Amino acid sequence: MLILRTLLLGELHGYGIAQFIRQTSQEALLIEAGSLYPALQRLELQKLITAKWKNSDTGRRARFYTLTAEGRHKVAASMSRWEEFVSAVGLVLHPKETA
Amino acid sequence: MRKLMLLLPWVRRGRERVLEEELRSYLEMAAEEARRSGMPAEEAEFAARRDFGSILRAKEDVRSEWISPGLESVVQDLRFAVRSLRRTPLFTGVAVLSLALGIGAASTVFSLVDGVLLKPLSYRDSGQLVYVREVVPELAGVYPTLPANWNHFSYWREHVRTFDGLCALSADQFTLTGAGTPEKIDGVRTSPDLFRVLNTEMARGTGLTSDVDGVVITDSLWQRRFRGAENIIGQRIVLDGRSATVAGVLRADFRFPKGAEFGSLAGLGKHIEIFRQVPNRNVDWDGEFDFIVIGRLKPAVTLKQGMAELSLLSTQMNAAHSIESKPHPVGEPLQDVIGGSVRGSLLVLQGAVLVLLMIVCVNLTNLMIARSNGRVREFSIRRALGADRRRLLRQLLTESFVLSFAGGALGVALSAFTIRFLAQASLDIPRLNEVHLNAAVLLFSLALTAACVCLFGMVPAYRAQAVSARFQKQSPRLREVLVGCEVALSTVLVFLAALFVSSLTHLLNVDKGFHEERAVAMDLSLPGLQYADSAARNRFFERTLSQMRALPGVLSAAMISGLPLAGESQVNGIDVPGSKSDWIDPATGSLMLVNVRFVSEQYFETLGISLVSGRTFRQEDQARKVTVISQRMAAKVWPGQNAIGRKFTTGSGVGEVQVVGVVRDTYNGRLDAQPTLIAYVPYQIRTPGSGSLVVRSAAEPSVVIRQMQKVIWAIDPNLPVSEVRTMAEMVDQALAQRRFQMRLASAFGAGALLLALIGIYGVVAYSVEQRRSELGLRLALGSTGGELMALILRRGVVPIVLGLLIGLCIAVGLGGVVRSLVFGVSTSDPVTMLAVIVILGGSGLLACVVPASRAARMDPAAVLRHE
Repeated sequence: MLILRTLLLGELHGYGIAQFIRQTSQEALLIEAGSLYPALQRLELQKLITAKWKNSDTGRRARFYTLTAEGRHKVAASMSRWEEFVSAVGLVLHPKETA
Repeated sequence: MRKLMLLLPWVRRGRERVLEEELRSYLEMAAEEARRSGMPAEEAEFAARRDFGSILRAKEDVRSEWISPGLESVVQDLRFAVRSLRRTPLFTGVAVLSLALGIGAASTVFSLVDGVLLKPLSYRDSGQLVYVREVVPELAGVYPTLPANWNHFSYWREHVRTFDGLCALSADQFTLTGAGTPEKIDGVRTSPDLFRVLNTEMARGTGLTSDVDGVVITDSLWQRRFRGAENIIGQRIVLDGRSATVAGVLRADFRFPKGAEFGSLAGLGKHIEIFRQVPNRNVDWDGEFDFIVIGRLKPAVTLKQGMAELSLLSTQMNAAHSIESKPHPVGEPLQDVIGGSVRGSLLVLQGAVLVLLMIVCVNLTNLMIARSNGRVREFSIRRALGADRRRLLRQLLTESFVLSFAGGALGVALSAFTIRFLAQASLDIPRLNEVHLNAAVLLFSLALTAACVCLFGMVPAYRAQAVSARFQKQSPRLREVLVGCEVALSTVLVFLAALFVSSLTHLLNVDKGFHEERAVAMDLSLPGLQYADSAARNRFFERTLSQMRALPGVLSAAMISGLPLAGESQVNGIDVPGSKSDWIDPATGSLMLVNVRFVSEQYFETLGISLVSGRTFRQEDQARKVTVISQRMAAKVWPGQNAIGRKFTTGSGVGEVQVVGVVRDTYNGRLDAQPTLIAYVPYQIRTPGSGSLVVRSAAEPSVVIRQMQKVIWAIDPNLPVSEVRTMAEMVDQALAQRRFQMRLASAFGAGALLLALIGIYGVVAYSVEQRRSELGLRLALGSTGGELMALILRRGVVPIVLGLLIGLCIAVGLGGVVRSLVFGVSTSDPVTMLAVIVILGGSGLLACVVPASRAARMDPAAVLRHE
């Protein structure tokens, strides 16, 4: 889901995705390449993302991933589900604040 | 779907490359970033790798996304099977080839059976079609059934209620002139409702109506002679010098049975292309059995009900029209009639091919067992390394699956090829043109393949499992039993082949009564219009014969109304003065029937038919009432007496004739039947409108044929010269089916023999291999090579002898099935049996001796050192 969310901002390559998640989560979430690529592979086979070879800003060839329409749909759905979940957990953890 | 695509090796390799490159690009980017933050290049790269973790692990994780583990292991098994089969090319080659041959042969023969016997005729609801014939009690001994009489047919058609329709047709030939060279075309005269009864529609036109001028032509004739002209309907064409109107063109897929299928009496041509109305005529109520009657039963009516009604009608009719011969109708499904002539041989063929396939399977089982025994060590190691038993079994089964699938695929390809080849061969198998590899045949082949997997896959798999569990050597009993079975089955096939070979030999040795060398024959039929009176026909034949005799190289030339081997015709009873009415054959109790043949002088010389007594025809015999009869006729009518000078009366316009000579017998029908009774008379007695010219020449047949055509066209340019062939070709044609049968049976027999030999050799060689150290020890302790050989030979000889005995018993037991297919040899012929024993036993022994003698020659020291 994090990967999909990242790709919502535009196409990006594997290294970029890992960096982005690390930076935006303020180094809290460290995605290892060892688990990143299987995940990307799975998403690709599920046709949520597509990939093509391109030159990066630094002029290096890299495989750029893009969300497909189905992927976008999936992000939106799972994000709202996550937020519901978070708020539900929040409600349980801090019952007084909302009461 | 995409996941499945990844099973393909090339798709997978591409994927691997992408993964490799992508990971590299990740590492490079990480390293670059580190460099930018001030790390030295080498250290940066190292740091990137360290951060990444295990690259191999990452790759493996990615790959596991590609395929689910169950599927992966199947793929693994498949790859493993292919790899291990490739390691033993000889085994794999033999296995796949023998399977391919077995399955190929089986599905070819099944296609034949399916196309000829099982598949209904290509007419709609063809199961309701009935072929009706008549039985005349007093002729039944010679002709069990006869075509129907026109009047009887009309009577049935008028009164019958259980049939939707009845039609009658008879053979005819038409000379088509006009566009292009004159051509003689086979056709039929039919009642107009033929196509309604067959339930086929015209591609064009309305079909036959009550208009007597109308003709229906086939698509092939339309394409060939009229180049598929669009305006063909209503066009006038010239048939036999008279004009006729094309009233219909049949669809391209319309098939009319080949003439021979209706029996020789019906006399239908080979490729019927013209259908024309039966002219109105007066026929007798008795005799003149000329018409093929086909009826279509009403939908719910059975054959039995329909025929019961027809029989009842015939009884009424016989009384009403006082028909003396008291014929009654018999009917059988048209389908049975069409395939009937070859039903027996096709079913035997099918049986033979299944036996062959069984041998193939037994042989493969044998090979697989040998192989799995040889792999005991491999299996034990794999068990020890943790492979579970189910997995090992599954892998063995996968191997057999790969083998049989490869064999099956190759077999189907082989059979597709053979069927194409067969369809082009000019074999006298009805509906051969309708045979092709169809879905049913494919299914049959696949079922066979699957059966093979189970048969030869399960046994070794089971044994391997037991072996690897106990790590113990097996007693080779099972393999010996298998070899015994193989030998028994092969014996059956070899025996069958031997029977067919000796049938053909007998047939080749049949005294045909004539010499076919250097003789060329040509069929002619004089159009009725220009040659209406016999004087004109006489003039034509006289001129033609005298000009042909004048050709360079021609030794003699003659005319006959019907050649030997060309079928029985002009069949007549005879009357001998002094005996009462018709002559009855004392042997069969039925009417004695003879073929009347109108011949010119020189006929016997031209065909080399030798004279037994009396004389042949001379110049002055023209139009004299004399006859030359065949030896067998003389012996039947005047047994033990001199036939010369006797008189008898017969039909076909001959009247009373006096015997002047007796000649050797010839065969008008089949060579494997009895010789025909023939009465030859000078053609001038009643000059026939059609016949054959025979020329014996010192020159090449092709040259003679051209010269003969020139002579004919010089006399009458409109005369079609259709069937021209050498007499040798006619004899060949008469033997073709037998020869084909013999070749097929021999091929099966040879294949079976080869497979059995492979099996025997395998068993003996394997037992030698297993007992190497034991044998070496025996040698070292003083056994002679001869003793060792005897010891080993016992292994192979016992199954061979037992198999031979059992096989011969089966073969003799099955003798009844093939009795009708063999000629001149008993199905339990001791000489044939002896030949089979010698062939199988001898070659089997040889297959044992080779490995045994190798064992006897081995060096004991080397063997023991090896231990």
